[in-house]
Amino acid sequence: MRSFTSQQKQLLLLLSPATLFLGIFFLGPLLIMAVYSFLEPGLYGGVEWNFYHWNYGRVLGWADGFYEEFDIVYLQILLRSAGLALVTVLVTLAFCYPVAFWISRMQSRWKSFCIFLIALPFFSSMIIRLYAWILILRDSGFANQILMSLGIISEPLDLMYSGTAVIIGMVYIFIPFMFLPVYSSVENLDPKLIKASQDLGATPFTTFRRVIFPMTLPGVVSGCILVFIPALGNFVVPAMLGGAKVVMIGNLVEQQFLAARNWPFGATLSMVMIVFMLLVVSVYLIRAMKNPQHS
Amino acid sequence: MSAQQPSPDFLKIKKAYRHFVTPEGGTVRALDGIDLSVASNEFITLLGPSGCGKTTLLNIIAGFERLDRGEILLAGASLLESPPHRRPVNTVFQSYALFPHLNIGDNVGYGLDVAGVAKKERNQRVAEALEMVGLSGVEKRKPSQLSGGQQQRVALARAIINRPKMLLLDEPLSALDRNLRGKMQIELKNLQAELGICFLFVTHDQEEALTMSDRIVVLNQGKVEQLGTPDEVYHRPASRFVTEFIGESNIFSGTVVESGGQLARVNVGGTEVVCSNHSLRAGDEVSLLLRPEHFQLKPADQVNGTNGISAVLEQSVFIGRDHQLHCRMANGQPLSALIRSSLSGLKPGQALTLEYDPTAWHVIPGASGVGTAQ
Amino acid sequence: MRKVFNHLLSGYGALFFIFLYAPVLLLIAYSFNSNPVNVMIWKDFTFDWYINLFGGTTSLKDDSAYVESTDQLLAALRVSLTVAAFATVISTVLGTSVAVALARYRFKLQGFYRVLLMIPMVMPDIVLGIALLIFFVGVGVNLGVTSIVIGHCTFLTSYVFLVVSARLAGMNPLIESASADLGASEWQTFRRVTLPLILPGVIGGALLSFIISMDDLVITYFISGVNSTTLPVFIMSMIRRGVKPEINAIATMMLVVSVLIASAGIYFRSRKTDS
Repeated sequence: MRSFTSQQKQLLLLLSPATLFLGIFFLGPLLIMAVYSFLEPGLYGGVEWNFYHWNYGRVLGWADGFYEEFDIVYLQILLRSAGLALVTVLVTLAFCYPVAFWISRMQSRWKSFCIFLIALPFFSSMIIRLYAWILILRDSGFANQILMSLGIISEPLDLMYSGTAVIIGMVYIFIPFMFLPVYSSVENLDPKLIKASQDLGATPFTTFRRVIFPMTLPGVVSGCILVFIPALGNFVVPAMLGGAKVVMIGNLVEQQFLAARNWPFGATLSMVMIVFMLLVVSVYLIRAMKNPQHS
Repeated sequence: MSAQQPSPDFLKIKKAYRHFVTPEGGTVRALDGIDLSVASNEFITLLGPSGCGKTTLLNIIAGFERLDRGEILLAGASLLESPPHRRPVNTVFQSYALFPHLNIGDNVGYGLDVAGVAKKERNQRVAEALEMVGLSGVEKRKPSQLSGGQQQRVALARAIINRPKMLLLDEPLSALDRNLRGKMQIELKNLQAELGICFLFVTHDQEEALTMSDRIVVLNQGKVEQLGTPDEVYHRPASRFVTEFIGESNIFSGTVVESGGQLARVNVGGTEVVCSNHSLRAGDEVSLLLRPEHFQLKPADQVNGTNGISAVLEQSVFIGRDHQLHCRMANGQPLSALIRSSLSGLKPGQALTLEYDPTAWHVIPGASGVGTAQ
Repeated sequence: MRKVFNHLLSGYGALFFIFLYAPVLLLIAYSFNSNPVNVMIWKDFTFDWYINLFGGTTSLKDDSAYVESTDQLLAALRVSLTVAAFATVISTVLGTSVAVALARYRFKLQGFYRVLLMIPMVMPDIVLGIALLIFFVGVGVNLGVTSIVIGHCTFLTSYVFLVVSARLAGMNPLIESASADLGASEWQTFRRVTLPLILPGVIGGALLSFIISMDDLVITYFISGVNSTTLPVFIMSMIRRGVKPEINAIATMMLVVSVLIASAGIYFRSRKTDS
C-alpha cells in the first residue's frame, strides 16, 4: 500500500506543473473567450457585461434589428474561407500523393535526402517563404517580368491580391503537413499486397482502387485535417498575398481586435472556428479519449 | 550457500488470487487460489499455455504486480510488503531487457553500482559473473553488438551478480534457435547447481520443462493442475489437460466391461482395450491414455490375442528416426503411433494391428478425465 | 506503358521540387542584385545590402538604403532569442514530465491529458492568439516578453510532449523493471535508465520548440507589446511597408541559418541511431 501512495505522489509531481500552466494559460483564456462571445460590444471598444446573443446572429447574417440590416457578408467570408481551405487541401493532396509514391520507390539515400528537402521548410521562417512569393507574384515581380520579356503579355497581370495567390501561398506553406502523413502511409504499404492484387488478376486501376487507396487513406485523412484546419484559420497568407480583396475569417478576426475593436464579435468568430475544428478532428479526439495507448 | 541445509519451504505461496479485467469488460482469473512450496535449492518450472497465469505469478514474486489476496513468504518473511528493488530475488527477462545505453560491464555491474559497491570489488565481481556464464572480456561492448545467445548470458550474469536468494527466469530461451536453446538448457541447469539457489523458470515449452526441472508446476487458468517431477508429469499425468499439454497422447473415453484380477476390459466405442485394473468396476466411465511410442507394429499374423487394436493407416510421416503413423480405428477415432523401424511398403488404406502392453495404459476415472490419476 | 508512367511520375516529382525550391532560390539570388528600385530586375552583383545591414559604408546613396531598421532588427532578434530560450526551457520541462507521467503510470485521466495536449497543435493559431490577448488584457498583464513566453509555452509543451512520448513508446518498459529488479530505487532508475534513454527525444523536442518559437508569427503578433517585437513580426511589418532590397538580404541570412540548424539536427539524429 505504501508504494501505491508514493506512486500517486510522483504522478502528482509530474502532472501538476503542466496541469496548472495549461489550466491557467490555455483553458482559462479559451473559457474567457467563450464568455466574451456572449457579451455586448461597447460603443467605443471594450465590452458591456450584458448577455448578448446577437454576436452569433451576426455571423449568420441576422442583424440586431436596431443598427444593422440583414447582411450575409460574414457568412460569405466564412464560406469563402472554407472554400479556399478546401481547394488548398485538394491541391496539396494532388501534389503530395503521387510524389509520395515516387519518393517511396527511390533508393534509401535519395529517399532520405528528398524527405529532408520536403521537411526543411518546417525549419525555415514561414514569413520569408511567403515573401518569396510576393517577389514572384507582384506587378513588377518575377512572373510578370518573364511573361513580358517573352512577349506573352504586354501589361503586367494582377497576380497578387487574388484568391489564386492566396491558394498558392497556402499550398506552399502547408505542403509538408500533407506530405509527411501521406508519405508514411505510402511507405508502410506492403509491396507484396500490390503484387498479390496483380497476381489475382486486378488491373493497375483496380489495384489502386481496391488496395492502394484504401490502405493509404488514414495518411490522406490525417494530411487533409492537418492542412484544412490551419488553412481555414489562416490570416498571414491572405494578409500578405490577398490584400483587401481576399478577406478570410482570420483577417476578419484580426480586424475586430486591432481595428474595429469589437472584441466580443471577434471572440464569436473564434468560437465558430473552434466548432469547425472540433467537427473536423472529433473522430481523432474520440479515439484518443477511448484508446490511450494509440495516439 | 550450497553448504546450507536446503529448506523445503523456502518459497511459500498461500492461497494466491489475482484477477484482471479485460478491455471488453470480462474477468480473467490469472491466479485462482495457488498454493505452492518450493525448496531453496530447487529448479522448479511453471509450465502452461499462454494466459495460464505463470508470468503473472513470476511478476508478483518479483514485485511488478500485486496480489488481490493471499500471501507469499520467502525464507519465512512476507515478500509482498517490499517494493521490487528491496526484494532478494532477481529476474532474467524474456527479451533480456538489457540497458541499451550501457556497455556490457555497466549492464552486469548495474546492481552493484546502485548499491554503491566500491569500484574495485565491483569490477572483480563483474568479471567473475561474466566468467561464470562463459563470456569473459566483453565488458566494453554494447548489447546491440552481441548475438542473441550472448545477450542471454549477459542477462544471466546481470541477474546473479547481486547474489539473489532466488532467480526468476521468464521464458529466457524462447528467442534462441533450437541448437543454442539445447546448449543453454544444460548450462542453466549447471549454473543452478553451482549457485545452489532456487531457480523459478517460466516456460510454455514442455520439452524444455521436462529437460531442466527438478519439479514442474503445470498451470491452467490460474490453477495448479499438477505438481510433480518430470517423470511423474509425463508418465502419470494427473488430468486430461496435463496429458494433452505434455507430449502427444492417445486419449480414449470408455466404459469398463469387465474387471477381475490384474486386468480390466474397457469398451472404447466398440473396440475393446485391455488395461491394468485399478480397482475398477464394470460400468465405470474411464479415460484411457497411451503415448504413441507405446504402440508396436506387428505383422497381422503375429498378434497374440487381444492386446492389439486394429486400425487403418491414413498417413505415414517420417520424422527423423521414427515414423509417425496416423491411423483411424474401426469406430472412427483417430489414433497415433510412433514406430521405430525401417518401414517399407506401408500404404495409406492398409489395415494394421497395433500392439500394446496393457500396463502401459494410464487410466483416469471419469469420462472427462479431470479426476486424479491412480 | 509502365515506363511512360514512371517517366511521367519522375517529371511530376521534379516539378514538385521546383515549386518547392524555386521561389526561395530566386529570393536568395536576387538578394545580391544591386538594383535599388526594382529588386526583381537584375542589374549587377553586389554584397552592398548585407554590408549595409551590418552598418558598413557602401557605395549606395543614403536614400536608397534602409539603414534605420538595423538597430530595430537586432532588437527584434534579441527579443526572439530571449523568448525562444525561456519558452524552450519551460515547455521542455512541462512536456517531458507529462509524457513520462502518461507513459509510466496508469490513471483515469490519461485520455483527458492526451486530448488537452493535442488541441493546441490542431487549433488555428489565431484563436489561441486572441484568447491569450483577451486573457492578458483582462487580468492586467503587460504585453511583453513575459506574455510572449507564456503564450509560446501553451503550444510548445504539446510538441515536446509528442516527441518525448514517441521516444518513450519506442522504449522497452521491461528495462525499467529490470532496473528496479536489480535494486535501483525509483529515482535511481529514472536518473540512470529512463533519462539517458529519453534524452535524444528531450533534446529533439527542445530543438523543435526553439525553432517553432523563433518562427511563430500569429500568436506573437497578438500578444507582443510595443517594445517587444519579435523577428518574424518585425519582418512582416517591414514587408507590409514595402519590398526593399535589405529584406532579401535578411531573408537570405535567416534561410541559411535555418538550413544549418536543420542539417545539424538531422546529422545528430542519424549519429544517435547509429550507435
